Amino acid sequence: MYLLTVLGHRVLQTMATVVFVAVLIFALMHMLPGDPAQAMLGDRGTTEAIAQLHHELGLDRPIPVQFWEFLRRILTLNLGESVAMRIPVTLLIADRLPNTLLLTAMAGVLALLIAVPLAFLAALRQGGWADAIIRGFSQLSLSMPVFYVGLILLITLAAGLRWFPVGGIGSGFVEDLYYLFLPSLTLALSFSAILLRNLRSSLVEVLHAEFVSFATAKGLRRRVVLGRHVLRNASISTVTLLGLHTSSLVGGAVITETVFGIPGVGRLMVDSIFSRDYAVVQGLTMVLCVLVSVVLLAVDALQALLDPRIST
Amino acid sequence: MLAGTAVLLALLASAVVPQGIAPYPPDAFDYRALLQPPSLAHPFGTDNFGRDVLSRTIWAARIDLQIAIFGTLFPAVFGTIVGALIGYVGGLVDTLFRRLVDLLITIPFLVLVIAIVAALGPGLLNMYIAVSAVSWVFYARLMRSEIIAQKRRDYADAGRVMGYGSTRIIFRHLLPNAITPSIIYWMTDMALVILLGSSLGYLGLGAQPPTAEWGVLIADGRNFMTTAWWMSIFPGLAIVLAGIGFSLVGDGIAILLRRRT
Amino acid sequence: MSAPLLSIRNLTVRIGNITPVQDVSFDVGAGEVLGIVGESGSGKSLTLRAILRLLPDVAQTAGDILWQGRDLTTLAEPEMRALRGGEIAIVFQEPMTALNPVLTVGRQITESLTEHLGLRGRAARTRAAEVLDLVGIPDARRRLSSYPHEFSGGMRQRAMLGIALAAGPKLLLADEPTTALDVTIQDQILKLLLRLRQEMSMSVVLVTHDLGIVAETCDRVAVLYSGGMMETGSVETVLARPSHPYTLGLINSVPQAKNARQHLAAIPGMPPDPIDLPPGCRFAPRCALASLDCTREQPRLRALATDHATACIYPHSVVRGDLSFAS
Repeated sequence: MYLLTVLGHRVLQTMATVVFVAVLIFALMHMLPGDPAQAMLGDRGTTEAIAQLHHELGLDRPIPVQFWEFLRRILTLNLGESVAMRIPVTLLIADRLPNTLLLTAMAGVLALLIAVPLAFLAALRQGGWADAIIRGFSQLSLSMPVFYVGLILLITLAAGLRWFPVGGIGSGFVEDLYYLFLPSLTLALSFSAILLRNLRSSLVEVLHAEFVSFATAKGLRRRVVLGRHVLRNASISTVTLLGLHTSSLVGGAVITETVFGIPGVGRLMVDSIFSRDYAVVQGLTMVLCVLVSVVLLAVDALQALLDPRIST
Repeated sequence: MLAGTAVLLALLASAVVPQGIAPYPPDAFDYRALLQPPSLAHPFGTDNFGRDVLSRTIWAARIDLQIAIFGTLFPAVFGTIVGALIGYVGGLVDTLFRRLVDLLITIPFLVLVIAIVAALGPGLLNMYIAVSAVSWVFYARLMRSEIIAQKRRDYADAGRVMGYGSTRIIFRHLLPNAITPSIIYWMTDMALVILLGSSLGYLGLGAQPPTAEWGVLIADGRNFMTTAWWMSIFPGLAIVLAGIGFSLVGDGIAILLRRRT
Repeated sequence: MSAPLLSIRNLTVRIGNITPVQDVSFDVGAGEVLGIVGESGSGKSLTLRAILRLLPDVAQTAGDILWQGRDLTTLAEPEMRALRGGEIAIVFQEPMTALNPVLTVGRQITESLTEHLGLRGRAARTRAAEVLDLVGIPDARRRLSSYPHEFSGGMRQRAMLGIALAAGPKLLLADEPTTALDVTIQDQILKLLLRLRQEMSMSVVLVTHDLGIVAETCDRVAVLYSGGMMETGSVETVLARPSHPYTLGLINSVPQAKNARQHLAAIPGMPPDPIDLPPGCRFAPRCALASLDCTREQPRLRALATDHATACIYPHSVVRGDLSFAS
């Protein structure tokens, strides 16, 4: 059936992406000037330590063998060990990932809550002052870097008014929601600006579609036309949009975690870069890419469910 | 459009002759005036080293504008040329390219750039390399679809009617029309690159302190959020202004070029 | 002839500073098929949409639209809604864009049934299947759950007709229903329209640019040019004794199958730009009979005989066979 073909295609693509990213990271590590082991150990490296690490990392073997080892290890979910903390990377990531996922999910939901109604309002009152204000807000949001929005919210709502904590994470799900509210709002504001712009124009398109005229010509009430005919088509575009921009959501999460000091994979990434903990950086990049692929897979499935043109 | 040009001109002036506009040099310490709120002498206040925030913001314009230009120049030129060739040649090259694009869009842009910068080491040059290595693909994709659309349009007529020399004629006519979306995209991309560059600067992966760059300035103020909010807020406004300026100019160019065709 | 069901008098539509429909008048009687024929840009589609008040807000409508004696231009919106689909239905040219791609055909029928006839659930679905059957779609019950893209072109057009006629309207406005179809399918659809007219005791206004379709399908015809009504009357009369040079031009430009050597007689020139209309009769610049009087003022439809009106001031000079535009 069509549906399986589409999904199957996406799964294959995910696998190809993982391999591609693996190749990329491996190439980066090994084609760079200098010695990876040296770079990893930095100042901590004595000659013996470097030689030891060389052997540990298998750097004294020929390149194809190294690459094979690299792939093999990844397939068995062994992402190596963090040089700085001496614990398996997988453990490190597993500890931080749920926080990032929660943050991203909350941000996504908030963004939809902001963008969808505003897009509808702007599209229905196209050319009016509501539309102009909404588009202006969208433009403004798009021009603001995520960390700036975060800082503003921090300064005003957290530090200033003391409505929210300044950072970190709670201990328990409900408390987490409270702690993550401001960060998700930050991310959501930026993300909703992207969604808003595209959603509005696709809504305008739908509103002017011939089938909307036809539905009106049948004598249906405006509410029915909007609710049944427009909404269903619009939700398909929304899902498509979400999929398209998922990777920017993940990118934004990385920055947001840094601003708010949230122990998630984003901050882990940045910290690892500074501590030259390449094993972690490698592993994280892989995980993030796989994550995005999975989300895209879900989006494809959702689309196929909503849009009969795909699955029949 | 006019507003956008005005903004951009102001930025350009700040970048080219900061000495003329900024009241103080960017690294002038004034230990007597640490963390001063905005005043007549220091309209944007001072930072924890007594440096005038307004001046630093103005001086930073030079760096950020550089980022906008260098971060987009190579990808734009290289990407457009490659995209045009791929669109024109088609075939296996095109299929390979489309696979490449599919793979690249699943990887978060920021993560990829950070990863590359991580490998190469922090700094502006490495940031340019990292950004260029990835973003040329978007220009190429845009140009490719434009060329394909143009090819479909003129090919039948021009090819048959003019016969010999049609290839050259197609290039002379295709290219000017096909390039319009790329130019508009370049404008938006410049705004995006400033955002990216300042984000990296904020993280400490782009421009390095004490260089004045808007992201770095904001990072400088991070620890003084409650006591000296002006340190972060004002440079941020500069970023927003620059972004809006580029967007407005981009929109204006879009309207102008569309009126022509 | 009994009182007409639909009576349009001096309908004018203005959008911005152009007037794509000017002073259009015609009648539609019970059970008859009226063909409105004209080129693209003649304002035919706008006229139909104006009847059901489907034009965008920027369009200003003036004139009288009387449906069974009620003035549609002043009708309150809820009553207008009941009229749309309930008493007067409209179908568009391209079924692929007129039908909602993400709703089943059955759904698109039953929502009309619910709105106008109060039918729900199984009763609605049963009636919907009957409708599909009526328009000639085989396996109707099963096809209720099909989506528009699962139908072939001709079937889609039938489905659109079914959706429009589900609530049993008395008048169908068909905006070029066969233009987007193959010639063989065109024929089927036209025959379907005639059958529906019979079985549902309905009138049809058929908008087309094809005089051949008018000749085969319609009882009466109205000729539209550049937003103005040039001639109206029964099909036999108008085609045998056209009284407007434009009508004659249209007739002459239809190739006759029997005469293989015939010159294709096109009307020289192009329809005027709506922004820059010629003074007086809009057809004057292309008309072989045009005189100075023609450019003085816009001629209005005048009755020549019981059911024959023309907007030309020299109706008797237009004699078929006598006047030709081809050299």
